[in-house]
Amino acid sequence: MTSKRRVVIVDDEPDICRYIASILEDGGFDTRTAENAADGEALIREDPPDLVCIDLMMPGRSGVQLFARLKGDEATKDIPLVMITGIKEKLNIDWADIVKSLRTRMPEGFVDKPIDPVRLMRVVQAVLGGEKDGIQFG
Amino acid sequence: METGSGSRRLPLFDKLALADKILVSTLALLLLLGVMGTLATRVVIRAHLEDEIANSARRVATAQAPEAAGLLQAGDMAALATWVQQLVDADRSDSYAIVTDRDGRILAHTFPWDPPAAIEAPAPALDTKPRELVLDDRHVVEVVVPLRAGPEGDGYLRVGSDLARIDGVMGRMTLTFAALLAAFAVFGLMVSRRVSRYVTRPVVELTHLADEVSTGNLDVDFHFGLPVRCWEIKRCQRLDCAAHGNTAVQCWFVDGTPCEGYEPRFPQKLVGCRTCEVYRAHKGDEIVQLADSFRHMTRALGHSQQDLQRSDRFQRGLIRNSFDGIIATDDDDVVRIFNRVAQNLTGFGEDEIIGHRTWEDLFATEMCDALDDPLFQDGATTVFGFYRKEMRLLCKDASTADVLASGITLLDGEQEVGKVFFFKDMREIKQLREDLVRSERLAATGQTVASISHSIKNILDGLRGGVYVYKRGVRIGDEATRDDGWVMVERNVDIISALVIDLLNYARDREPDLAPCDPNDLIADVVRAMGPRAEQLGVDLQSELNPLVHEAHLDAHAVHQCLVNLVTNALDAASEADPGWVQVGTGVGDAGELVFDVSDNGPGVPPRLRDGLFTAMVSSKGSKGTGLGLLVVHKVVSEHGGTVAYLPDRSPGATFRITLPLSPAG
Repeated sequence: MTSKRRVVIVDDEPDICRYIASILEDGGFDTRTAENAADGEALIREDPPDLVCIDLMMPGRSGVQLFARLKGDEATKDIPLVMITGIKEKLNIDWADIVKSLRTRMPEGFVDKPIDPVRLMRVVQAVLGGEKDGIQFG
Repeated sequence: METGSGSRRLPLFDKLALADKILVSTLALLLLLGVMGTLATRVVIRAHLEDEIANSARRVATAQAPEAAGLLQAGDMAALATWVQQLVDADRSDSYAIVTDRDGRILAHTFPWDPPAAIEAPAPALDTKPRELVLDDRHVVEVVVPLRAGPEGDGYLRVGSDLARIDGVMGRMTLTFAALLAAFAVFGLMVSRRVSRYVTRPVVELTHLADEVSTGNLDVDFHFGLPVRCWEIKRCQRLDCAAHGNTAVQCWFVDGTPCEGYEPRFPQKLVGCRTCEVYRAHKGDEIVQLADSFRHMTRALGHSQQDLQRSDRFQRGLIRNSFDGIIATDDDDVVRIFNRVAQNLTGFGEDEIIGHRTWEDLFATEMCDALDDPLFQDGATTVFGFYRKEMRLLCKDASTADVLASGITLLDGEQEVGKVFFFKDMREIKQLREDLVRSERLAATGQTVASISHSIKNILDGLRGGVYVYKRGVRIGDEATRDDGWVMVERNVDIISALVIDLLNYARDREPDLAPCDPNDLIADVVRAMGPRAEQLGVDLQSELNPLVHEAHLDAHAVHQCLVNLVTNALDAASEADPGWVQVGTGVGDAGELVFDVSDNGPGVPPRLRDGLFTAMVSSKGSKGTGLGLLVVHKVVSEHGGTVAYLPDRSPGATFRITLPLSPAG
């Protein structure tokens, strides 16, 4: 019996956390959720998952900060990340600048809100399969 | 008694031209000298002639007295008469001789005219001194010589001459003098005419030039004195000098000559130039120097006039091209400047206003008092006036134009010399304000729509999530999962309902439902309601209730919503601090008003969001904030007649303060 792949979901909206978790559980994943970046980081470090889904905009430490900490740490830098974001925030953030300043890699995938279950699963599978989701950023 | 100079008549002499004065003076002087000379000469010559006649009579009488005495002693009266006749004939035809006894009785006589009826006797004390007599209206000079005729009796010989002969001589002499005087007068007039022309020609020319200058024409040229060439006199080789080889302008008028020791520019250099050998070679008599001074003055005036004209053009340009209306008056309040903006605004032309109207004719608003208010300090001088007051200008079509005006009283020392008013067309300002408000409103509307859309999108995600989880629960037969999904649906329906209600509350005008309530109870309710949220975020939520706060008339539900909004924001902000805290409390303001403070130790509101914090949908929380909360707070507080403010320096993070009157007006 193959063990389920594990996903940590970090979103300050508990309903969104539950929604994403349900979609991924249907896809065969084992999920854990956190409602802020600090709790999420603790979960990840405690038991590094196969994938992390992070909401971009959160109060306190934002999703970008969590992304930077994970990608900047040798222990967590190779864990694939999927950023959950509205299209407005995605376009407003200069990812190229962030990546350059943090000397790190781009997130492995992006999923727009409102969340479409089929799209989410396709991105997650593409990321875990080593593919980019194909979203281009200018 | 008349003392005014206007009533006095100018003496005739003063009316004459300078040349005529010289001529008249010379003529009068010559005539005076001639008349006085003639009179003096007449007196002297007449006295001399009278002496001559008297001496002649004395010589005759003295010489003939012995013969007369002999004839008198002989008593031959006939011979005496003949002798007397011959005596006179031998002398002069205008002379007479009389022989009398010692009592003066005439013994013999001869007259070249009819003898007089009565001849006075000689004086008792006889001598030979000539005396003047009047015989039958004739002026005569007479000498009396006593005759010694022995004891038989003595007598007198009287010899006299008519002075009319002298009058004839004097008459001829006077004619001769008059002729000479006339000749001298003509000659004197000719000489004085030349002198007067020499003196008055430059004066007339200078007068003409002064007239030209007074009419504003300073480009006058005239030549007095000797034109000089400085480079020849000084043997100067400076070919780069503007005066070198310049025969059109004398060197002391030329700026920048490299002569040592002199100021470089006219007229300052003139002081030094007057001592220069070049200038000394040029200057002649006083007239030339006067003309030079005049020319220098004209040049200096020209320089000053050019400076003034340049300054005047600059100032006129400023006034003409000002985007503000400008009206300036003199010390009689008569308008002297009425620029283009003022003309366009009022419809009046320059000609209708300048010199004809006062500022009080143009402004419909009373502002005399405002002009006397101290406005600002300019060094030691206090400037009086007013700044940016709304006034109304009278227009030509009897309408009025609203303007935003500033006015200043212009002083020269202590003396008021005029007033100046600057103003903007309020219609333009109002239009700009309306455009700005419209623009801001459009921007705020766009931002609001975007923010609400975002919030709704998040809620939709929650709803979709709820439906998904509910269906999954049904699908996998897990009742707990199904219930969770249903709860998610219900929660997000509640959220979107609240959002819609907030939107409606914000969008529509409503009167607050005022009722007595205890503000401290309100705070306690809010803290109770927000406790779970604070706990979820790990933030310490505390209240500080002031026991001095009294019951107030509030729309409790609306104010509760405001406080919830502020506390929600504060909890989100404080969750970024470790540990985070939020404090909400009541207080009493300086004027007894009710105060609610909501403070946190979060990062505070970024400066870029502080402008329009309560007038636009602003959120520092990204997709988690709609930005509607503060708008609702501002609206509710305004409806209560209160204020809401962000106090950035009150705590480590932020403090929002709501200040409400205990009993809102109306």
